Amino acid sequence: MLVMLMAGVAPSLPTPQGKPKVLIFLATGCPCVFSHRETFGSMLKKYGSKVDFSIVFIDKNDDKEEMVGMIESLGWDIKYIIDEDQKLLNQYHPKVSTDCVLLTPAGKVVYKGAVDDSPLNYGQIKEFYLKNAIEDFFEGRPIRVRLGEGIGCIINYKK
Amino acid sequence: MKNIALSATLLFIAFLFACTAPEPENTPVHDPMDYEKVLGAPEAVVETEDFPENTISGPLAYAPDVPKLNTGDVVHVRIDVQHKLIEIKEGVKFWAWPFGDDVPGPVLRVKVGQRVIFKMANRSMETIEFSPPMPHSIDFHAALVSPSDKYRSVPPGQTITFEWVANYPGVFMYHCGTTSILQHMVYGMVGMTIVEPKDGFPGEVDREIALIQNEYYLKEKEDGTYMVDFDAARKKQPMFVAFNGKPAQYVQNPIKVKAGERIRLYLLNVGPNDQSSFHIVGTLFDKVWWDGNPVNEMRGMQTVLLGASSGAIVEFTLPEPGTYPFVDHEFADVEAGAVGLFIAE
Repeated sequence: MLVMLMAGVAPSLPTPQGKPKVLIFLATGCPCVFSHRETFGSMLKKYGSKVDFSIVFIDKNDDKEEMVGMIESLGWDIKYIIDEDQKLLNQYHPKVSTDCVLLTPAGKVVYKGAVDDSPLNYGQIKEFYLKNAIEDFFEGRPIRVRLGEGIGCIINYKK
Repeated sequence: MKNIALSATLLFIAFLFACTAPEPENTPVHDPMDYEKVLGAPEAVVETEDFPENTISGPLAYAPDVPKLNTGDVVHVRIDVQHKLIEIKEGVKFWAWPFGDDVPGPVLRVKVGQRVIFKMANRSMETIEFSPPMPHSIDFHAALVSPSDKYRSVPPGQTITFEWVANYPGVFMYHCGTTSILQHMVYGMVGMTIVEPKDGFPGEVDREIALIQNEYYLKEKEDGTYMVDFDAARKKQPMFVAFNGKPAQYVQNPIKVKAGERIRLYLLNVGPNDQSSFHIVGTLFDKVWWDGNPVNEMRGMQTVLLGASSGAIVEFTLPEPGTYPFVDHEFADVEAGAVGLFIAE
């Protein structure tokens, strides 16, 4: 089921109480996310009841048909947010589309960056950045990698 | 009676001699591929530079034209990547990611033994308002190098330089190797490399033509423009199949040749998904060099079957004046645009 939310709804996003949150920043014109389709999809299945996952669409040229089409192509059951005024971009400053952030229930960023490093290794995943960060969070451990370098499309920040 | 006995004896002796005569020594078979190959190359360099005005330079031309060889042992080649709105058919425009200025990218021509100093800038940030800039790369099938070094993804705004030596003659593909590779290829990041044998292709021809077959997976948007349909690409359901980037372009604008002249056709199916059964109505291929290597010669063929990324060189003549259709003989592809005409005058 796809649910659309508008970014900027005060205070930031409606979040189920007590759940950490993952935002993944995407643009429909950027295919890089397909490198993470399986990894991220498996996290949605594994942690979907314990983590609040959302896509943040960041390109002003995106239309709803393209956004829904991309989610269907990815095969993810996830809600999405349209960040029309770049409020979430300016709040979290992802470097490229496909970057994501892991937020504590209190809204603190504990991980930012790539889902994994597969685009750097011809598909082989050597670092499960986001999955490891989620596991560390639930185990109460320090997050082992807090910033994972990713490959994606450059985000066009408004000046 | 004596004569008969003598003849029989002589015949017996001759037979014995024949049976015991030493066999002639084996003549060594010349292997045309038995020469030293150059493996590997210095590490690639990624850096920032001021981009030149032109996106390509070197022995390059857009198909059907075939570029001339550069002389010398070292060849400098530049093919930049950009994001560009291209029109593949009247009214069908989409934002492609071409090598150089068109889809497919330019044909590169080198010969065995030449060292290619290759440079590629990722200019995708120049159109950031319309198309998200992203990493790109290039994978030369003609090269023997480490892909994790030379074919690495180059961030927008940066330039990669690396070398490779042409070791094998043939018709080879190049394409973007950045994930999702399928998506980068359906956005048009494909092209052809021709590698001549050290002493040139054997035999004389009157005309050279390059044909590259590719598929387009598009869908129309509400505003009448088009966008890549990744689902269709994954399901192998192309909207168009084209020779040299534009479906059925050579039906309205046929390729003109002379009846009786010998034509060498450089063929490549860049896919990314489907095979091509290339056929010309009204003639046979006198010679077919599988993957473009003269060692792999076949004769008198009607159709050349090319899997995705396979190439061939075919030589033929059109026997008399007339119109000769060329097709991908998988006729669903003809309906999608894989058809053209030679006019022999």
